Amino acid sequence: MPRRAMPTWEDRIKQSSEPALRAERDARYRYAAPAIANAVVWCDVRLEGEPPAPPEAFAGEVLVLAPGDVHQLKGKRDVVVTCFDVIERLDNVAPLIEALESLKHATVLISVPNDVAGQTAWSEGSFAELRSLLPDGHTVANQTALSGSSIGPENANAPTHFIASWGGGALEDVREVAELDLDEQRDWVRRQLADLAFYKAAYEELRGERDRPAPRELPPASSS
Amino acid sequence: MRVAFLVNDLQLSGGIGVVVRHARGLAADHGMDVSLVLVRDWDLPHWSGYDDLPHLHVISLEEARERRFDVAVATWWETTFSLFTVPAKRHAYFVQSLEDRFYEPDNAERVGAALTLDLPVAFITEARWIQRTLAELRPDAPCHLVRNGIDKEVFASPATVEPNVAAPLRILIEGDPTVWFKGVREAAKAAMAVRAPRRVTVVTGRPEALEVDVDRVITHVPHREMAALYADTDVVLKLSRVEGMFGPPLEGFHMGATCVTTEVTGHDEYIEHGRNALLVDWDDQTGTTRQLELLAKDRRLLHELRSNALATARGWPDWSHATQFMAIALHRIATSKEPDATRAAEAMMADLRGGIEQYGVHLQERLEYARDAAKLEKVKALPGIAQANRARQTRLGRYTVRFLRKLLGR
Repeated sequence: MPRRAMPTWEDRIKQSSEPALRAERDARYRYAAPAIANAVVWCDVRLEGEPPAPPEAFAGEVLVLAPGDVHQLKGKRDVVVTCFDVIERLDNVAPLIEALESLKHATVLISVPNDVAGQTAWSEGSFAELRSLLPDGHTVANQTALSGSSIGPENANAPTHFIASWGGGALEDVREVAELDLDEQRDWVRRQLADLAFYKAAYEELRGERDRPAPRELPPASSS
Repeated sequence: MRVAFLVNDLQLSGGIGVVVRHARGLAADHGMDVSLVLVRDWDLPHWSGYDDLPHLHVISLEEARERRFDVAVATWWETTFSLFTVPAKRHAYFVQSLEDRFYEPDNAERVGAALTLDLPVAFITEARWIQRTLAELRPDAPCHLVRNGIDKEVFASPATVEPNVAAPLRILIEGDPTVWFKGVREAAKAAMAVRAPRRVTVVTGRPEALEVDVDRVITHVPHREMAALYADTDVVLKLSRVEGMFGPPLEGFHMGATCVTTEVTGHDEYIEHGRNALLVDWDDQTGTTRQLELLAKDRRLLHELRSNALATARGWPDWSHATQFMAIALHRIATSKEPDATRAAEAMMADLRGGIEQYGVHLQERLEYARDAAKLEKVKALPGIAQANRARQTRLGRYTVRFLRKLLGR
């Protein structure tokens, strides 16, 4: 019997999630917003929870479907389907991919994590596999993490630094945002962990040598 | 959905193992009716090495010809000879490597294997480098990527890598030394040249052909024992010249071993120089030995590479994940339109022409060599030359030649 689509772990992103993850999710819906605004039907495929509010210009029908119910969209026209943070949580993705691909009059947006940390098997390689099965002419956008800092008037958020100045005129606010190299960041973290494990083992090795009893010197053999 | 995979045999090997894993998964988890079609005649059912194939039909080519399938899939270039004799709605070709590269340039099979890539089929492949190559060779044909999974129960990764702080560097080499493109002898030589404390293990089914004295040779190792060997390894050494998906280092990664390797096809699927492995140049035995020396001396680097290798392995799919993609690919092939035979024929005729031209050049070269050889034979047969040659073979003659060479400083 074919296995059914089943969630394997808790929802990756919820209100209690890390703020950066929530911002990632919001960005995905903002990316889809122009397409949703012009649609007759917006279908958000999800395993649990509620979708965010549709864009203001949207006047159509909102549907929330489980992955196994996507076939219900067959025959509907001017549909936008968003399927974010779902695929990596399914044991068997085949039925969902087949159902999404079979929608003939729909705009489909699906997200796949670049999870090189190994929590799931979804990373660059799996995405390449998925792409080879998507319809011709599909487009791909990369979602990257940003790292940034701003300097401005005091507000409710906890600052990283306090900057005092005097003697001159008022300075303008500054906002610096840069894309974060995720590979480099992950490498850095892993290197710290590997170094820690190595030095711990090296320390144990040296301590073992120190604690080992020195070889006893035997008295010279007595001549008979 | 009825699927037929055409195989030469079911002997335990890397390529057949992949087909059997997919076939099992498709039948057990995706409700497909899967047959393994043996295209060669065998006296007995050949599935040595597999405990059982409960969900599969193993049938002969004759039996397959009496059935009808949704998709028939060739799995090795020689199986394409029988592919179109199996009645199927669609025909596909699971390309696990560019198999013409297994043969040396003068070998007739080389052209034959290359030509099979021009058939009017949909392709499925397991590596991105093959997918890219096929896209260039056959832009008209659909090509689905389905990476091989790893048996995560057999190659069960440890939670962390145990650092090797002071013990000898544990190097593992695997493969058949008689297969020219595996580079097993070269690897053994490079490893044995390491002067730092090391332990070189070679895993091979042909130990007599190794021709290099190593610290340890192990033969006929089943998968589970192979996993244990990788777990007792710091670095897998591979100097292959042709690989498909390049599985062995990845199995090593799962057990916490890094890799020193040439930039062989398939390495870029998961290997990154300086992050989880080290790359070496082709035919560079000294350079290879130096990289191993580096790992023997810099144990912090060794541990970092091993830790990153393990992290890479964690993100690699298991067989269940891999077979899902195979299932989708087969459904897609079954429901898509038939590949354009005219475009395929066009590609095949262009390649055939190239093959004939190449064969003509080789033939011409051989004729020229044969003519030169005939001239030499005539010279050798001249009176006095033949006697002189015979005299050289005697003990006195050999001493005289050696003495003259010394005298002339040659």
